[in-house]
Amino acid sequence: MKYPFNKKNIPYIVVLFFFSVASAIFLGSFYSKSYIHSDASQYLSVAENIVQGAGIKTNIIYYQQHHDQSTIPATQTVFPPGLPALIATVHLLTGLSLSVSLYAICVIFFLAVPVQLFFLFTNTGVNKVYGILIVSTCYMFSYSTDNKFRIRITIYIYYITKHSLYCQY
Amino acid sequence: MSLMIYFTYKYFIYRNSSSFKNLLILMSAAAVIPALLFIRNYYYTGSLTGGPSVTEGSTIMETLYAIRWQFSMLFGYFINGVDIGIAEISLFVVLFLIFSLCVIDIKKFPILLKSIIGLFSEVAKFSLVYIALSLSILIYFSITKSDGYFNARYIMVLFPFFLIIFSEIVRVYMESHTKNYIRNGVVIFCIFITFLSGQYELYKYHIAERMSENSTGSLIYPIDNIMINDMSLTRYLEESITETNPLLTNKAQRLWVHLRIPLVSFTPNLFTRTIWDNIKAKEMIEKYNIKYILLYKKYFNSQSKAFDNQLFYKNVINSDFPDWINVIYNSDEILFMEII
Repeated sequence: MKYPFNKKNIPYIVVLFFFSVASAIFLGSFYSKSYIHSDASQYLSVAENIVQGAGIKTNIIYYQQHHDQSTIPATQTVFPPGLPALIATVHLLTGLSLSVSLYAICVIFFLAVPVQLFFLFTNTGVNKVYGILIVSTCYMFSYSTDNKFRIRITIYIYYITKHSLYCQY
Repeated sequence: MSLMIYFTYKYFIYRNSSSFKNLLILMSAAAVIPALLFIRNYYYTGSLTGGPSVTEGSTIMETLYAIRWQFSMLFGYFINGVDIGIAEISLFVVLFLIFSLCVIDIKKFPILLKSIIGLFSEVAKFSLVYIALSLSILIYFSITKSDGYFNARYIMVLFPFFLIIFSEIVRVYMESHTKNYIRNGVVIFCIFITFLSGQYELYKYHIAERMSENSTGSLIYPIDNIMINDMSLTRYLEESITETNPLLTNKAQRLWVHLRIPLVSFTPNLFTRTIWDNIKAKEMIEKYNIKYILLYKKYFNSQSKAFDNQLFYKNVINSDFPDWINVIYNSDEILFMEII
């Protein structure tokens, strides 16, 4: 159960890497605070509280679960803490702002999708050049939608790819 | 849900330990989170689906229009309504070619389709079923439970699976026309251009939206131009709002990204059964010791079922202010109030 990293695939991986870097620059040029989805503000607020040592809490009282606690900040019980922890980690390691850290995480996960799809296509016998063409469309689509869904896509594709390879080997 | 249905079906077909293992792993992963959400929804709203089923306001045509719009937001086609651009022309050409091939060999088409699907890999078959089931479930709940609300982010997760199927069609096609290199290249190039032109339209749309006054960044622009105590309202809020006296606003989540100050919002009725009338609003204001309220009028849609429970905002927009409110600033766009 492993990815087909063999010598024959190296030129294609180089091309994918080039696409990924170019796309990261392209998507990075779009960065703006107003570009962050409203739900992502909850993740950012929790990340900020984690960095400040306040725990898994939010300063945005929006859901009934928050109102029930009657305090600010309120313990975040609506969204899971994984992504805020990741944002806080990137922020602490790189010094990037929390918003930029979130954006960078989403771009990286987003760009992992075409790479995984390429391996999947290779595995199912699609011509590699056509595979590159198909996955390259992934580098552009729907960058306006909710960031956490990009991460979910990446995880889905990872498991599907693993499942596919498992079937073959 | 679609994962659960798919793997349950596979188990009943194969009835072996491998399919049982898949069912157990993927079904439990897919079931645990929705189950927790259902319990949470029922606890807070009295309904498993999370709030009222607000369907009376929309027709099937409106729902279909909403779905069509969200597909445009994903693929880029018809994003400008009836305006036809390169993306739509490319799409028409590809669809016309496919349609022509079907008409030429109309009797063989079902057999051809069946044989193509028969040649699909397990992953592609799974993708096909997953997309079909997911879309059916999403559209069903959109029509029956949420007033035709349908968001592109729901179907975004299906995009890679769509590409998996597409790659399989390419593979099957190539394997049956191995020696027609030029024709194969032209076919793939045409489809590739069709994809990319749609994405280009999407790109243009987002650039235009970012430049417009209606962009999400416009939350700051209007309050930057309001002067309170010789400073902009933005700065005034940054200086005066703390955790002991947060701001009540109808755009809490988006505004927080810009201001990073403690914010409180009325929960929409999708997530609560609380009716935010003047009494409930006053209770909440006292609970958090709120001093100011900022209402973005143009973002509060009083006709929307989602905000049906926010009676306090409806009252103040109609200039029906309770006696514990002092209006500091009131325009077509912004209403800024102080608690007396």
